[in-house]
Amino acid sequence: MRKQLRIQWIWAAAAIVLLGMSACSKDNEKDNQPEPSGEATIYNKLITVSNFTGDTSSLTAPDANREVIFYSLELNKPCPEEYLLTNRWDVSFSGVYNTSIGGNYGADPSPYASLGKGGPGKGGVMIIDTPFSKLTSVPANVTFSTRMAGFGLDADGAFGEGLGWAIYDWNGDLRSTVGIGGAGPDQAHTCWARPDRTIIVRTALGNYAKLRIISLYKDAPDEPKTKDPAPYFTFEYVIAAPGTMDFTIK
Amino acid sequence: MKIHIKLLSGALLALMTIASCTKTEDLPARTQSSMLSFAVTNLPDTLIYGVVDQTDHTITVYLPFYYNLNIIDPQIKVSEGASVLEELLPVNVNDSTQQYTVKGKDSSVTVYKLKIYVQPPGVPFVLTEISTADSYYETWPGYGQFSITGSFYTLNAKIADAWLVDKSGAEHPLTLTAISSSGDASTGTVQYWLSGIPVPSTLDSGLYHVKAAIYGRTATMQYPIRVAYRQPDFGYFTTREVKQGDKFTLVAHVSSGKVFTGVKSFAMSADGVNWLPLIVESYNREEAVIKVPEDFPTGAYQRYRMEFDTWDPIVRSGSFTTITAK
Repeated sequence: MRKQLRIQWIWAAAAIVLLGMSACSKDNEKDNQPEPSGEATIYNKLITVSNFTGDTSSLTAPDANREVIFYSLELNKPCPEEYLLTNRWDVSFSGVYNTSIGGNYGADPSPYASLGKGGPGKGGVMIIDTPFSKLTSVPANVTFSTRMAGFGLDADGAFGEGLGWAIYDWNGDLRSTVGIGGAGPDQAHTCWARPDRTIIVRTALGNYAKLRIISLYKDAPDEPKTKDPAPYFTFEYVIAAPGTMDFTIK
Repeated sequence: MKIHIKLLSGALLALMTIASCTKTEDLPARTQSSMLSFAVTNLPDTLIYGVVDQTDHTITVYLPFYYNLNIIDPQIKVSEGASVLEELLPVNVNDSTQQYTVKGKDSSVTVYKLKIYVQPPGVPFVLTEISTADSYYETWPGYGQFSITGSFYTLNAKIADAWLVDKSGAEHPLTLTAISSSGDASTGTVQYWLSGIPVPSTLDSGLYHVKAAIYGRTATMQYPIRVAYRQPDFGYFTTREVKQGDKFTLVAHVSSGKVFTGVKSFAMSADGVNWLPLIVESYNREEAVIKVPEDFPTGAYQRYRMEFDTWDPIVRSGSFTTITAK
């Protein structure tokens, strides 16, 4: 009898404890943060952007530095300057004709650091002497620049330094010697994107993209002239899926 | 007897188990439209969580000053099946109007108000005087190189605010773009100065107090500065072609503080001897609209003269203005 009562007591106590515990269960959670990486479909897709407008106000001096503009490859949209210290941009365009490309990196303390200095960005840029269509993945052992002016004008043209993605043709006569550029005085002070170079971007979130600037003139004319409206960037890019370095278009 | 003790013990244990949940049961039941967490994501390698109060439906975020944030980029977690109706965009740290509407899967709605507090450094916020009781610092409307020095403790000019306050108490906001710092090793202090500040070109002449704010604190210089007009002038312009009867704009040399005041006439000359008047249609501090008379002689002009009510006339040579037939 006593044993029976003891068992009943144990069952009753266990049931009460279980009931009590269930009364303390909490809600499920849902992360409502908008996906900074954009839609899942953005990865390993060829994305083309036309006429992303830079600072077109410097009408009298083509070689003047322009107001910096920002673009998010992951969100596929421009980013206002007020969102500088966020992950909402991946590439900055500064300098002459907005041709200096920089990444969004927060931890470089140098005076010439990325404009994302102090923010959460993990990005950077590098340039490679390979055409966009031939580049299938991020090469091994590459170093990314975390400076504001990562890569821009090429040493084959005016104002250039080292390997760049664009050539500034001062006189409009570089085509005969460099193979790219102007072919007459009406193409003096024009800027030409190099088809043999590809920019690799490590995005603010740490993913990888290959980027090719096609033109910096409005509607991307094949033969830009001195007074054509600029800078209006036309470019294409592919972002590798998170955790990968593969640029294969799927 | 023993059985009674055991039964009593069992009842006591059950009561204790239930009692352990009593506090939770006393709180308002969590709705299906609850915000569960609010995090600031735009920091290097860390998150700052806000305090979500389910009673008064507020989110309180405390930001240490040294992050130099002018905006926060939020990450919000809500009850299962719920969503935030507003687009989640970065919020200015000075914005006191931001709220979030969480809609639950049962269609219940809860609105949370965001409060952001930037925790200031542990030293007072003071500005360095630029005037004295005997001598007021003088500047000009439009002048582009005004500076303010003080203990701002930031290198992000976007998180500071400054104003010129006139004698009626009206605050005229200043546009801040650059801030620098320098240390004084002998005293261990650091000074910060906001530089390249344009004085609003629309200001009237008079005395103004300099006021600034950062991290929710304000400071005002004890002694005012004087804003005074100076000799007006017009700025550089490129070669232009204008038809008879058309208008063109003449821009004042604003960044030097030489705004237009009391403009009386404008004339052009081809030889510096014969001056031909044009019509000053209108003007403000920064520009004048000039109309070419219908019968103005065609040709190229390179000399310009502007006259004023109280200032000396200015005579300049510059780029050509070519007048063509209408």
